[in-house]
Amino acid sequence: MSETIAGYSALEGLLKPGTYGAEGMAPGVSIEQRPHVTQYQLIARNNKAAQLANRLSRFLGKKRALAPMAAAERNGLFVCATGPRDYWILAEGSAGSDAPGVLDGIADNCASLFDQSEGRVVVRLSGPNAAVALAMGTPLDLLGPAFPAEGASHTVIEHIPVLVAWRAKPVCYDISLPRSYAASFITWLRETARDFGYVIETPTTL
Amino acid sequence: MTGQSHRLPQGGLIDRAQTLSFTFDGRALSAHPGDTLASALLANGVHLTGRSFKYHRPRGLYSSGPEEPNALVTLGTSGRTEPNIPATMVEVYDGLVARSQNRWPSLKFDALAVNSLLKPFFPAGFYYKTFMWPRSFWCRLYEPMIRRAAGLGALANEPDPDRYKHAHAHCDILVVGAGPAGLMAAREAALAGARVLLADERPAPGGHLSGETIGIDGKPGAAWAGAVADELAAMENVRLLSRTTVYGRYDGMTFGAVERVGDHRAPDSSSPRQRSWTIHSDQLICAAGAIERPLVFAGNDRPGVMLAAAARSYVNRYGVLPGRNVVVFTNNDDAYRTANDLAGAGARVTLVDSRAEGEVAARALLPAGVEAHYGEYVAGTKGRAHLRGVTLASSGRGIACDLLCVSGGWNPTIHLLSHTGRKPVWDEATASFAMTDPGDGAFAAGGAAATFDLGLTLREGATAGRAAARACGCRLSGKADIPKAGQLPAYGVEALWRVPDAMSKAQGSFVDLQNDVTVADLELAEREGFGHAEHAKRYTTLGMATDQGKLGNVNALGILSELRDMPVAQAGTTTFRPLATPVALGAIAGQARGRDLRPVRHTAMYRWHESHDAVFTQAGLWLRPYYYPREGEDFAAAAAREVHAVRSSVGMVDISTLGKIELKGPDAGAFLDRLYINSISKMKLGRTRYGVMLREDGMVFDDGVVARLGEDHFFITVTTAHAAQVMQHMEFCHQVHWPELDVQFCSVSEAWAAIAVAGPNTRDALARCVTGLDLSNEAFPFLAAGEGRIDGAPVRIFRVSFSGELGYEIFAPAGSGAGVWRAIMEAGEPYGITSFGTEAMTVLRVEKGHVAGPELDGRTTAADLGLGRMMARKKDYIGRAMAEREGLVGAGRQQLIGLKPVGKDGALRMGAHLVNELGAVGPDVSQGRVTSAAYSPTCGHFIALGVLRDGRSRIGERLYAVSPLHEEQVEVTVTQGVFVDAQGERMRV
Repeated sequence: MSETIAGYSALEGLLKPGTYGAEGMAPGVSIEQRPHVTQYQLIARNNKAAQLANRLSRFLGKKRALAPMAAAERNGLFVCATGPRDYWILAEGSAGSDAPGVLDGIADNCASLFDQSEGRVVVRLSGPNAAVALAMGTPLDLLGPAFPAEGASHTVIEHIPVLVAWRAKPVCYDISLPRSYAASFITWLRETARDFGYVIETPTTL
Repeated sequence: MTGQSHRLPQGGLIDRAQTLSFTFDGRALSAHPGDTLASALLANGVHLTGRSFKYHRPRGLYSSGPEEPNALVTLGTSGRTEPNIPATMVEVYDGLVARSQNRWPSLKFDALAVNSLLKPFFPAGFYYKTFMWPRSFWCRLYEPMIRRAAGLGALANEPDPDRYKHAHAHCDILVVGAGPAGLMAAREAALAGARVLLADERPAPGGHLSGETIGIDGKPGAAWAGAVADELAAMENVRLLSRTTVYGRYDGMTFGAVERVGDHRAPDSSSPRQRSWTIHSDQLICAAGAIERPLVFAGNDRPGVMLAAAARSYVNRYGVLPGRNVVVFTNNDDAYRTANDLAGAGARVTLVDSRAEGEVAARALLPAGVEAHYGEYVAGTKGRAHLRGVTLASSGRGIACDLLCVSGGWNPTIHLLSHTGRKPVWDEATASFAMTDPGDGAFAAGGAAATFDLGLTLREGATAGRAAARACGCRLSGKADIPKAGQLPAYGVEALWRVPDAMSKAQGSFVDLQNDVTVADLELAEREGFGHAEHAKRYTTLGMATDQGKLGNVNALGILSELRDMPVAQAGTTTFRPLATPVALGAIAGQARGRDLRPVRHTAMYRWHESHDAVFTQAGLWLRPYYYPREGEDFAAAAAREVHAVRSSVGMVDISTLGKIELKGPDAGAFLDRLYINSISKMKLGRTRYGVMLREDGMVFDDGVVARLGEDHFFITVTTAHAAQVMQHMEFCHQVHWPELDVQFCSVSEAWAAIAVAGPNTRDALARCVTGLDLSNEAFPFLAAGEGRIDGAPVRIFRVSFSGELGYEIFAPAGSGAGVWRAIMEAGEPYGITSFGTEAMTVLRVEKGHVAGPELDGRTTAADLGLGRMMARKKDYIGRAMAEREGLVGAGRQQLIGLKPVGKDGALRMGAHLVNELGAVGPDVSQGRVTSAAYSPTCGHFIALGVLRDGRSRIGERLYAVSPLHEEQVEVTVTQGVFVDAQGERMRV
């Protein structure tokens, strides 16, 4: 399905680039839609969870398997350990095009691969107040050691199911959410970011 | 300072360099930054601040904290109007508008004050015993009348323009209260490395220290507290939340708190007014302090009667002298500080102590000139709108005064320690109910732990902070640095629940000032068998509503124990429940209001629907097109046109809201076999099948379409309403029942936009836009599944039909959904293709007799719905055994039937009962019910589906569909459940 991602984005018209918030305030939050992110769900087959974890850690160049809520990136594939035998993979641009092939290889005979790209949108949050703003909306402990950099978890924000992925230091979060909730999520995000002042970036063209 | 008749020339923590203006009942008054509305009113000589709840008695300021029972005011105007705010908790800002409440026409002259004269006729629970006749008058006259006469302010009718927020916070240790104990606890815990959240309801730290003269480490208490708070604020592992009330403790160490972000300044929309916090903590340190206990005697509610610590707080913190001729009435040593501070501020003070002189350690605190009476009580008060004097009990002597400070001892604030169900125990030494065992993960320190010595409080706070940090895994080093506190005499108290009967009238002795509960009310409750604390509370309204027993409950427990002739320790307490303090509904709602009340979900084609004037309806969180009215069309006309288009040519509907689940793995077929009543694993590749799932109890759970896309690859659709539950059910079945099955599945509901296209011209229309798939009947017969392309997008096409017409369900990648929709629209243009909404969809499926949500209501079996033949005999599946139990099979079951009105001009209504005789009503005569009803433009009359006892054997019978609620009854004929193309030929062409 990923070949059609250039189609209509659920975020279209919801994130008009500009600076918003209290006058005279330096924007504390930066918001950017990531229209070119493809997403996959990888679920281990019965009794193959360890094998899948090993393959992924080899791919990622890690000595150990990803711990729950941990994530790691290689060759543009950001792999998130989201459940006991469940992984969520974000890939952008050319990495996204290559992802099916790479992931099919990893999944071979030990996992099933599901393409979730069409059903999700991704919004990136960064800036000095991004963590504080995001932490207000989610029961995840984003500001503590429980949620490390290069970590990811499914959670909810104002009743909207989301995947929060902490991509790298300094603070940069990718929020993946079901496309049907896009308008409600953006309403929440803008209202929350308003207290910090925020800028909506022009989406990156790849 | 103009007009501030009671402002002291110096002192207090206010900014005298600035003057603020505010109004109270329309009267312009002045204040200083740092003032509360309460201190400002007192400074301006305003002593009458409200009328009581039931008797409309004049009331004045009684406290200086959130426990204030009398000075509840209404703030703001129009949409910002908010009633029942304690004046003691309102920070004055320029332009503040405050009004007294529960009075008419004015506070000074309140017509309903006549209730006070009629008090003997209005004892507790009087309304349970009177207003009994005539019965119908209760709802229409008596209750509205009582509600109008009583009450606590009124809400605004306009929308609230302010913004409210929700927020989450995490910490290792939540410290509630930034008084001496809380500050010490937070500092020690933070130094040990714990993540600390310190919440305090006041704008500045210090707690009671801010209202005292006693110092710490040689500094004034408030200055010491400020320095510690600054130290904490500089630490990365500490978060300070001022103006924040932690109002409730919930399971798993989760706490509710409300932060008054903007209440202390003029309203504006740039920042939220309040923020509702959900705090997740590992440990709790309750350092919420203590609340002073009133004394109970006749006339103890008169304006000018005030808690002793509050009076000295007004002097020391706000630089306000609340009275010039003062009587201090106490049973403990703490009130001697009040006598001392007020005398120091220039008041003439008389002290009345119920204890014998020899028992009083604090005598040394009394300055020269203070007249003291030991072993004496205040038996009554004089005055109307303001106190003029008191009468002593033993001597009968009257003392002229304008302020009576009372102190019955201190009650630890233990709400947060008790919300989990723990009961406090009686502590004889402090004459209070204390939480001696706060339970795992919780600590109490300072006043909240019934510790009333400042030095001990500081030490206890530090100890709690270190213990909590240790419990979090922090390493402690060295010893706690305990600051040196000023010395005061040891706190001594001798319980006094009420001034003895013989000396003071029970009728006018108020136990609960906010709810107007007197000693006489408690006596009545006890006499009538409601003497237990929990019963007395309900009988008298003691401690209810916004008060939550903060002031009156312990005195009431003491009085009830005396009445029941048992020690107070055995009398028990009432149950503490969140919320401990009132919270604005706006804060609880947060952003979830108006259009954002809950999230809404849009399909990929939403904007097309919107731009084509669709009227939307809600289906769960989804917004779905209900119908598309054209100019001049009403709902019925639009729906009829849409139905006609499908029956005569071609129509299309957005069905993206269906749940969609993809399954892979070698055991996917076997897994589905166990979920559905019919066999799935034997389906051929490229085929679809209608499937039905049962619940464990044998009732129908859900239905939908199953498609086999590969040997180990299935795609199923489930109803919009049950999408999440089916996924949950499948997860449970796999993880718990059949973990051995090698199947992987996930929801792909969002990934696929879905469009149902139906009508005799559908194939021709689709042939103009579908590529890569031969749609002819021979190549792609009924129930076939295949893949093709529309507008360049890969699509899955299933040949299924809920309408009975030639139909296809097309699944497109969601990002391409709108494009595919438009492409089909263009392709169907020559055939007059028509988009239709959920109303037409309902009509079409009822015409075809297709069951949906109203029939799958959890009370029907597959056999009831005529699907019994689908139930496989040779395999097991969820619900099979229970579906075969006695009672779910055999005669007497309500079975699916069709209904049409006799004479064809009656309107049928969903929910109507089916009865044999005209006028028969009630569950005992009901034969069944109408489950779905619609006007069928195809049939030219209303049609309905329903369930009827032994319905399939009663085709042709005449019954009545009655809806008592709507006073409707229509004679109907029982028919087969299919009204259009009963042979099913159209969908197979």
